[in-house]
Amino acid sequence: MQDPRIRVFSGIILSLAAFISIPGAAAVFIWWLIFTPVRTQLKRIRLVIFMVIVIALFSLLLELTAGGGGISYFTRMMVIILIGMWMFTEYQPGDFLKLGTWLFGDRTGFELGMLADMGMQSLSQLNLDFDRIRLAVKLKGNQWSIRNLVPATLVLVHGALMRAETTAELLAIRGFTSGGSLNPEFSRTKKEVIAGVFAIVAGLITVFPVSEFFILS
Amino acid sequence: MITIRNLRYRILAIDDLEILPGITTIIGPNGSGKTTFLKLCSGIALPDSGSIIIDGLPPRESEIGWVNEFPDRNILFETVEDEIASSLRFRRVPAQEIKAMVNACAESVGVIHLLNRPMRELSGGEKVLISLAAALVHKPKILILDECDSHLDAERGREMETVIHTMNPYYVIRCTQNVDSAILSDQVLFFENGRIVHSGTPGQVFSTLKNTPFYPMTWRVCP
Amino acid sequence: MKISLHNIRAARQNWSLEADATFTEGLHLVSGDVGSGKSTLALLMAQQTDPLEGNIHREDIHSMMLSFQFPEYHVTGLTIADECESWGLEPDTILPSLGLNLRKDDSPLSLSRGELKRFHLTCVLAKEYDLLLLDEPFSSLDCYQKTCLRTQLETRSHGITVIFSHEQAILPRVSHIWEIETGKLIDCGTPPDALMQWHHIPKIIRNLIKSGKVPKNISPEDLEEAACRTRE
Repeated sequence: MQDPRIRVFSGIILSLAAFISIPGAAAVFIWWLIFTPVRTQLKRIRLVIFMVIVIALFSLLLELTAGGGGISYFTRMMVIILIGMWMFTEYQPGDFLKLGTWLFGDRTGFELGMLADMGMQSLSQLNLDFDRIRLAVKLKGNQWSIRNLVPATLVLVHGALMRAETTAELLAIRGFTSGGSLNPEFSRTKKEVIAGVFAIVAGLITVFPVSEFFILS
Repeated sequence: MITIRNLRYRILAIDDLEILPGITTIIGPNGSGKTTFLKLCSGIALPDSGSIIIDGLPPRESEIGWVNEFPDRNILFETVEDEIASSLRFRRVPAQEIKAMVNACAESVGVIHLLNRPMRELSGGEKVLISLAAALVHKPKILILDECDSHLDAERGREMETVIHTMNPYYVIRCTQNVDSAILSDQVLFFENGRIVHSGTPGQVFSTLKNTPFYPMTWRVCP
Repeated sequence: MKISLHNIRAARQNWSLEADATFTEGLHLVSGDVGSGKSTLALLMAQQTDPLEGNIHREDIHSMMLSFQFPEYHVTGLTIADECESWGLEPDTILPSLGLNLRKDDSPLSLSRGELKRFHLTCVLAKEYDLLLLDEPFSSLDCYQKTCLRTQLETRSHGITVIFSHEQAILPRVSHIWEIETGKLIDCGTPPDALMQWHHIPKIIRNLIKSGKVPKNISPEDLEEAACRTRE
C-alpha cells in the first residue's frame, strides 16, 4: 500500500476493530487475508515470536485466574499483531516525514515525521548491529550464548548513542532549527482505496452488531 | 580569509594561522587533532579560547557543507532525494524551488540516476557522493571533508575531485591520508600532537617530510 | 594448503559476482571498485554466506579469520581489556604496544577510528591463521600505520592471506594479484607479469610502466627501485 495515509488510517481502524470484539477480529483477519501480501509477512514471523509468547502467557493467566476471556484476548491480539506486521513490512523510507507534515504541518509535523523515520532507521540498524555482534563472537571462536546478551546490548546502546551524536552534528551543520519546508506528494492505486473502504466496513461490523445487517431472530 | 588566533581546544593549540580561499589539505598522523580542527572550523565544536573568523564571521554564522569519513554516518534520511534536499528544507527554501535545486545538484555530482533509490541500497562510494551533494546543494562558502575519500576506490575518488572542482566552493578544507591528492592543493597543513608543524604550499610542506611515509609516492618515484 | 572457489555465483539487487579461482599459500591482493563485491567475496571465502551456485573447497585449512573494513563490527567486549580477552589475548601483552594500557577500562567504541582499527588489526595479526581475510585493512589508518601494517603482512610466513583493498600507494609485496571486473573475479597472475593485466593498477605504477620502468612488485621500495633503475 503506497499511500501511508490510507495505510495508517486503515491500520488504526482495523486494530481497534480487532481489539473490540471477536466478530471484529474475524472481519479484520479476512481483510488481512484479502488485501495484504500474506507470504511476505509470514517470512518475517520471527520478529514477533517473542511478543506472541508474552501474549500467550498473559492469556493463559487470564483464562486460569480471571474466569475466562483468555482465548478471546489471545485471538484478538494475534490479529492486531498481524495488522502491525503488515504495517511494518509495508513501511517505505520517508513515509512518516510525508505523513507527519501532511497531518500536522511543516513545523511540528515535519519534526515528528523526521523523528519517526529516524527511529525506523535506528531499529533496522540495531537489527544489523546485533547480527554483526553475533558474527563477531563466532569469528573469534567463541560460542554465542545468553551470557553474551548483556555485553552485546551495551555495545549496541553505545553504538546507538555515538550514531545519535553524529546525527545531531549533521542536523546542526545542515541548518536544522525547527521544522522544514516540504510539500508531501502521495500516490495510490484503486486497490488501496478499495482496501481502505473495506477497512471502514470491518470497523462498522464491530460497532454495529451483525444482526443489524442481517435479519436474524 | 579564515583567520585563527590563539586557538585552544583539547589537544589543539594553534597560535596563528591564515587559510586562503581554495583547497587546503590537512595531513598528519591519527590523533594529531585534524578532525578536532575541522569540527572547530565547521562550528560543530566551540574553542575553549581563541577565535576562528571566516571572512569576518564566526563558523556558526557561515554557510558550511560537511562530509565525514564514514559513508553510513553521513545520512539523515532514507531516500536519496530527501537526503540531498535536507539542507534546503531546514533552511525553509520554498518547496517548489527545492526540487529544481536538488535535480541541478544531483546532475552536477553525477547522481541524478540515484534520486529515487533508498540510501541503504547504495554502495559506500555512492553514499559518499550523495553526502557530497547534500553538503553542496545549498552552495556553502566552505566545504569541509573529513577523510571522506578513505573508503573510496580510485575511480570514485577522482569523481569526487571533479565534483569539488566543478562546484568550486570558496574554501575547501579537507583532511586525507591520501597524501598524493594533496599535491594539487593550494595549501597544506601538517598536524602533529595538536599543533601545525608545517604549513605552506605542497612543495614547501612535503620537502620537510621527505623521509617519512607522508611524502607523496608520486614524487618519490617521479621527482 | 589452498582454498578453491568452483564456479561460484553470488548476486545482490544491483550486481552479481562470479568466481572460479584457487588461492594458495602467500599474500594475495584482490582489488576492485567499491560495491564490486570484494566484501561479499570475503564473506563467501569465510563461509559466512552461501553462494547461489558453486562450492568452496578448503584443503589443509584448520583456522580462519575474517577482518571487516569497519573495526566496530568486531567489538563484543565492554572494555578494551575485555575486547582483548575476547580474542584470547592477554591485555597486559597487547595494550602497552598500542599505548592503551591506561585506557583498558574504557569502552572500545570510545577509541578514535584509527586507534580502534589499529587495536583490532593488532589483535587479528597476533595469532596465526591458515586463512586470513582482510577487508580494506588500510582504511582509517594514517601513513605511519599503513607502513607498519605493510611490514607485518610481508613478514607473515604462514598460511593464505588475502587482502581486499583499493589502497593506491602503500601496498605490501604480494605473491598474487586478483581483481573484480564486470562482475567476475579475474586472476591477473604474479608480479611483475600481473601488472600488465591489472585494470585497477594504481596510477603511479601505471605511469612507471608507461615509461618503460616495470617494478618487480608493488611495494613502495619496488616502485622506487624501478624508478631509480632507469635513471642509471
